[in-house]
Parts: sequence; structure tokens; C-alpha cells
Amino acid sequence: MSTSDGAVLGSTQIFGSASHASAFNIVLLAEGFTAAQQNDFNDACTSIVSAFLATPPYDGLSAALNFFRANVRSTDSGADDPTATGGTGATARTYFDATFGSNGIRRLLVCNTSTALQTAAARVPEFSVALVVVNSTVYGGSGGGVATFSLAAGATEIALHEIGHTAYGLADEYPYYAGGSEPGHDHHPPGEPGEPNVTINSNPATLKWRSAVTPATAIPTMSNPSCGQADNRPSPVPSGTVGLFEGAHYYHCGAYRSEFDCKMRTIGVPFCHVCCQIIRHRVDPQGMARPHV
Amino acid sequence: MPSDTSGSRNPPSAMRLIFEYEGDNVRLVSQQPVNVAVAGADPARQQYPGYYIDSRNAAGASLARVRAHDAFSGSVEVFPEPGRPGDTITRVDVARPRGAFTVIVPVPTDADRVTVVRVSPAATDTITTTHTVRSDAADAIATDIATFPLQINR
Repeated sequence: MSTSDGAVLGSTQIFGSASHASAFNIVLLAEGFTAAQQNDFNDACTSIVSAFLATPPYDGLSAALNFFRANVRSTDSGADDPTATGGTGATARTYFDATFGSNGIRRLLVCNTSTALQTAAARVPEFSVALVVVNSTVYGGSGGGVATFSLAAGATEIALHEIGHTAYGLADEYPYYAGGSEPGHDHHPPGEPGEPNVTINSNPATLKWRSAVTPATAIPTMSNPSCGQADNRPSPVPSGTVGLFEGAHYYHCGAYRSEFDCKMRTIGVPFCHVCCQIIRHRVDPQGMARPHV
Repeated sequence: MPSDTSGSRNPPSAMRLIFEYEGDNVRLVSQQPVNVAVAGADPARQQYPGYYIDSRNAAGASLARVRAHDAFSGSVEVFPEPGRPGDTITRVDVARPRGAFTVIVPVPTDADRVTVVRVSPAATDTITTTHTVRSDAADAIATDIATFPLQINR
């Protein structure tokens, strides 16, 4: 199962009119869509674009965004879905060789990342991110060099989170590695993370996001009283408060995030203020899409 | 390998590079001229731990540096299914990192090679008693992983 199991049919710009040289260009690649199913892919792309443009901060950045779809024909529909990980046992001959069940986990849906990147580059040399849309209603996805996700409800959230890593260099904000009480993740090791949305620095005068913190907000805003596990208590401050919340970057203590919750911590919730700022500056560095205030 | 589709006879301002990796081995599988602006590629400002791609001149001096997000990752994220309260995003280790990544790196006129660089944490990074991070970027350890010649038609 490889590129011999399909062909690139063409590419189409489906949203935006900004210069490719300066815009944030998103390429959607069809995986597991047969020749007869290309309209299904086109419809899926329309839904994905709508989902992006309804998600802050992208909802205010449409003038700086271009979306493209690359129609790719596969011999078979769907993706591999091994029985060993609870799947149907399907083996699909597809262009990007997508499969569920990576690492023994059914919803870990992966593809040939190199083929996806080279296909995107051949179609849109200036692309910013490439997303592989897998023709399956089984929930799944993954990140890395490209974000891969299925057509299942909610799977677009995987792409929104993964673009946070791939395009903007955002860190994971969740305070655990494998769920919350795993050993070896009590205290973040020394060394300031390079990512803009996590820190080990609790000095308000030098905090990365100090300009977004109001004087009335306590620093730290929330500390973990038991570093042997992630802090599962509710937020002590109203939603949207920018401060310093302990538990981030895979560690229960010693690393901080800027808000209680964020899409880089939990899919299905909005991006936090700091992540929104980073995204705005990357997508639209000149501020062309944003109203002047 | 993608060809030059920029349609310009001017030297490119940047190159899109696509790398494949498996374990510690890395291959440059595609290089493609692109005329896009790349911000924040000052080598002196790119010293946090992680992987970077340098464009360098014939003497080996770094001219520009961009971060390679998600390169050589030894783990993958697993996402919870919607509608299952309490399920969280988790990470699982992979036995042997394998995948691909892309960067767009500026190519000044004297750039003739690109180098994959790993920056390890500075040994002097500490948390002081006031919880202020002291991070001396100059002490970060940069290691060249691999170097590849640039193929640019000037």
C-alpha cells in the first residue's frame, strides 16, 4: 500500500485570496477516497474550513488564510483497521497508507508523513501546514509533521491542536504524560522550555506572558499541593483569567501554563489568550486581517 | 522531488526542505525554492533545546536558523474520543522515532549547505530560590547531526 495505490488528481484553492507568499496556507489532502468519492472529500473540506473559521482566533484571521484541497484518488476506501487493536480488520490500498491502530492503539491514526509533505509541496510550494483527511467515520488522528484525522465527529479538533505544534511551536499544556499519576513526572526538569506558552519561571517581572497578566491576579494563580499527581481541582479564578497555573508540559509541578484551560491542554475547549496571540502573529504578522484598535 | 514552481528567475529567498528520519538517521529528501518571508531566523535567538535547521556558508558559519517542530519525537499523542468525560490527551512512547518534517529556511546568497542541529539544555539552567529561571543560552550545547549541500540555481 503506497503511492502506487492511487494518484494525485489535482488541487484547488477553496478559500481565501491572499498572496501565497504572505498568507498562511493550509493544504487538505484526501486519503482513502476512491475516484468515485472525490465529491465526499470536497464536502468534507468545506466542513473543515467552516470549523476552522468558526474557531477563535482563526475567525478573525480569514483575510490572511488560504485553504487548498488536493484531490487524491486511492484504490480503496478508508484506512487499515487492524483487528489486533479492536478494528474491523480492513486493509485498504490507499495513497498515503493510513492505518488505525498505530502503537497498539486503535484511535492512533497515522499515515506516510513524507509522502504527504511531498505531495503538499508539489501542489502548494508555500504551504504552511498539511492536513491528511482520512475517509473513515472511526474516530482517530495523530500529529507530527502533518496532522492526520478522520471524518468522525470531533476529529477536526485533533487537527486544530496539532497545528498548534507544527505551525506555531506551541507546547502541550497538559500536566501529565500518561494520564496524571505516572512516575517520573512530578517535577519539571531544569531548563526553560522554548515554547511560548509554557514556562518554569514564576517571577511576574520576567514571565513570558507578563503583559497579559493584570495586577490583581495572584502569581502563581494556582499551585499543585501534591506533586505526585496532576492537580484535578477546578480553577480558583474565572475562565479566561491569565496568570500562572502549575502543571504543564507533561509535569505535575514546576512548569506553568497561562490559563486554567486551553486547546493545547484539552481538545474541545478554546485556545487560551496567549496561544491566540501566538497564532495571530504567525498567521498574520503584519496585522492585515485584524481590525486596528 | 518537487521542482521549482516559483516562476521567478531571481535567486530564491528561501528553500523548503523535507527530511525523513528513523532513529538518529536523517535524510534530506526534497529541497524546493520558495519565495516566502521567514521571520525570526536569527541563529543567535534560536538556542532553546530542540532541533533546528541551519543554512550555512562554505566556511560553516550559520546564516539562518529555524526550528524543526516535532522532529525526532520519541512519543505520539493519543486523543480522547468526544463525549467521554475524564478522558484526556496522553502521550505514548514509540520504540523507534520515525517520520518526516519540513521547514522553510532562508537562504542568503552565500548559503551553500544546510545542517540539522540538536540543541541540548544548558547545563547552567537553574531555578533560583525566587523561582526565576536563569538560563544562559550561550551554554546550550549545539550538536550537528547531519549536513547536506544546497542545490540552488543562482
